Amino acid sequence: MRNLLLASCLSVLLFNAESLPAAEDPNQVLHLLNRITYGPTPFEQAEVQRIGMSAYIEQQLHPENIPDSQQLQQALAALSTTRESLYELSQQYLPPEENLSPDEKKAARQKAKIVVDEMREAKLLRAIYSQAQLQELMVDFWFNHFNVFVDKGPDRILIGTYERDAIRPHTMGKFRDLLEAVSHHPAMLVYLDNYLNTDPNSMAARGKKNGINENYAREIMELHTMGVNGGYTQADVTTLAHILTGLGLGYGPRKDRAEKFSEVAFDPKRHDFSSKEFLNTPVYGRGEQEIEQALDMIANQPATAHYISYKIAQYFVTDNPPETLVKAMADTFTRTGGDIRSVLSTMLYSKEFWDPKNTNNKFKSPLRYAVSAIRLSGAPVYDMDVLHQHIQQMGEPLYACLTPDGYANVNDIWLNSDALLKRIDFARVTVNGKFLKKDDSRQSSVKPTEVSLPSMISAMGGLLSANTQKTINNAEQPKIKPILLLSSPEFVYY
Amino acid sequence: MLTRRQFLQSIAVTAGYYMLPLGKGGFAFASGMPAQKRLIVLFLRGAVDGLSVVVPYRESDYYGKRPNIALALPGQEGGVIDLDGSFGLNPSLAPLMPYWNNKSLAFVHACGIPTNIRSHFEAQDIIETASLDSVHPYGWMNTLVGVLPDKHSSIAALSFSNKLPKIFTGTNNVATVSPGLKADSKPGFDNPKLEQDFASLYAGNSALNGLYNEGTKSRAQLVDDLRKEMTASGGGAPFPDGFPGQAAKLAAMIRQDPGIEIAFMDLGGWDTHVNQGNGKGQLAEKLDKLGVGLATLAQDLGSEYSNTTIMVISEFGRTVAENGNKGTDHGHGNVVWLMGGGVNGGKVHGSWPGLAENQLFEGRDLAITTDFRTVIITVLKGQFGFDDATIAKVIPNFTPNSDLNLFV
Repeated sequence: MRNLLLASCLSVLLFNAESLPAAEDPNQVLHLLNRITYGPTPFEQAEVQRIGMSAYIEQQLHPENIPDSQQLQQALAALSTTRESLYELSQQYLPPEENLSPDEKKAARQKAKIVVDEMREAKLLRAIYSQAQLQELMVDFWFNHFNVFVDKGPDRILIGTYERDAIRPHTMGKFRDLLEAVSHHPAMLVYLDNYLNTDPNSMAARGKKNGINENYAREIMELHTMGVNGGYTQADVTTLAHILTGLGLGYGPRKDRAEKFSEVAFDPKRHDFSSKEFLNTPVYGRGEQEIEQALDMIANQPATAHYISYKIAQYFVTDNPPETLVKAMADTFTRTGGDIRSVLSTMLYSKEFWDPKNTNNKFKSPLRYAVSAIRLSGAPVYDMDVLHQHIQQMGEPLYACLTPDGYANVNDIWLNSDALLKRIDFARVTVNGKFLKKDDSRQSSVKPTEVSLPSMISAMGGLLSANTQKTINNAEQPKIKPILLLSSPEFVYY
Repeated sequence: MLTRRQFLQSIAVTAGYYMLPLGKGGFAFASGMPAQKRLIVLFLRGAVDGLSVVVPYRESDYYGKRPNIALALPGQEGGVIDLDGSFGLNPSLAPLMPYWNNKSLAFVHACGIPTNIRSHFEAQDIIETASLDSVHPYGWMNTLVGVLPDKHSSIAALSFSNKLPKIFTGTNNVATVSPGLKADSKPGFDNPKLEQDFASLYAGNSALNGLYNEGTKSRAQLVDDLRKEMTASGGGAPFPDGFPGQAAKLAAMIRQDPGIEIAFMDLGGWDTHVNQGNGKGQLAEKLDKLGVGLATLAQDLGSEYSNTTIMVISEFGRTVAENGNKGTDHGHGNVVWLMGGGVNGGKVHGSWPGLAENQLFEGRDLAITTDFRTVIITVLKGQFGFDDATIAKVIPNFTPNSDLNLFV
């Protein structure tokens, strides 16, 4: 019953603004909402009209001042594993030892399923109902940028705190702080194997930790900072791997398994203390400080400013962002010491962001499509797991991208014949369904909420083409009209 | 109880075709239809360790550099299956040995991208565009659709994936099939009026209009293919999980619709930086599923196997030496696998560069003696009989520098 009430309460959130006279060009408002939120709602369209676009942008750039609504807080409060510490989670859900039988492994996975389910539910709740929408997009952006995979070893237990503690606090802060937090979280060190990376000649080199593993060193430069053409060499990859030796999980005879997996520690006995040359600069062998020096150097590379700016612009503006825009953002990045909020600000006030040829030209990813359809229609979601299953079927299971490049955000990946049909399928479920499992006892007690076509049309500004409007008007069945709107070219793109 | 495989062997009879054994496990329909040539590409994403697939077991450096993960000699426990006296196959791939023995399975070793690229994503783009310039926008299999000589099917090309793979991006229509597609999936709209509404919705947008038409047509047809297959099998024999199941579905679709000329599948999870294993372990378990899947595909294609070439490729190989965690890091040369009726099989092709220190690329990786584009071009010529001008459309700006005798 609690969820039932909550779902209705939450959907009201999307619709509780008074309408006010238009102050801003509704198409520009729609473009802004398409790009810095998970999709427009009637409420936000009115809110931006009321306070103006600049004020709305400033508000979104300061998520710390945007409180969660009571209803959202209440829904999140029910997800208790999302608030537990890494140690608490490890203690309760980490399999007791490494060499388990297949049956024991299965049982451990089953037990830990609640951690993954609640993490996904929290992500979807915030994506749909949080008013700090730009923050939620940035969490999604950085998570994919620094992707880790839910099914790699213990990462299913570690990954929620990775997003909560390493990514969420730094989404609009200094890039170097974000890099530090990510590189010092067990989820990343496990995912890209650095917890095993060991100098083969060191005192503690033995067993599974017997030598160099260059996996993380390569991806730090290729994916996380400088980009594949950022000017580093294979020798730099190898050297960085040596610099990173010993950066791993908690260790020592007095620590239990949960403590080990919930801590990051530097083990000097596995580190290569020789002096090195990295990116044409000497790095003297002095242990943990080498890692900080190397991360400082990488974060300060012009290639990093450029690559991070390029990726942000690709996410928010267009698949192949113009060099003028990327350069302006990279200049801001460099000038401000990698201040992400300033880089976003440069982008949001750029002429490229507002260029009509960069509007409604990106095909929505499955997550963005699903969330935007629920936001625009106000359809209640009674079971977030069912919603997640739909997103999974469209190809974007949350936290489950196997490869370290994360889910891409470009048309080439998502735009295909099957994807379009699946968007239509989802639109039908949104309008006709309840997002409930077949055997859920609430099946008989709840009815799909009537969605309001006029408010959906009004939230779309004037963007709907004459052809779309005509098709909607000509449709014989009233129920098909909102489905057509959610399947329209103007809505499957953003 | 009939196994799925037994059923497929019997289906030819129930379908009323006369089949003639061709040797090499293939059959041909005794009908007047010209054979439809076909290419299936399977991409192993994450860089499979080719030195654990086709193992150079005569090389002392192979054992010297891999103290924990080398595969044992033929005849030993967990040892390789001897192929030709120099190379041995990973024992998890035993299901493929019948195809090696009937000479329709071949390998090209020491093959790959002739640059020092070691990034998964850039290297995958290069292989999928067949262009060293990774910003090249189109996938070579999409371009291939445009130069195919005859199109008997409304679905010329199909990819099993939720996302469009780079290799299929381009201007020609291609169908994507969800791996979860089932015989009881809804083929489309239950009501022609609705179908009209949606056709009208996309009429003004050429990109979406093309995708919508392709999508509705291919979904309906492929669901129908699977339905017919299920009916023929008496409604039993569900498709197995994972890759073997996808392979069986693809074979079923092609059997029902031999006009499908191009297909693509990919499999991830080959990036074995830690605890890779040897004849047993992580990599062997994955290879086992792959071997079963490929054997299922070959078997279930039935008579169509003789018209098909299956190419298995990965973005690059892995370091010759094992790393500090009983795994391998990103390397260079790798092995390409070829199966099919026309393949000059039972051979490891390509020139073997050796594994001694001074023979390695950048002192660490298997050198490349065959450019991956040479293999693709040789396959396109052997399979479709293309001339150089047609090849140049699909794989521009490249001339093979070695002759490979990959087709009989």
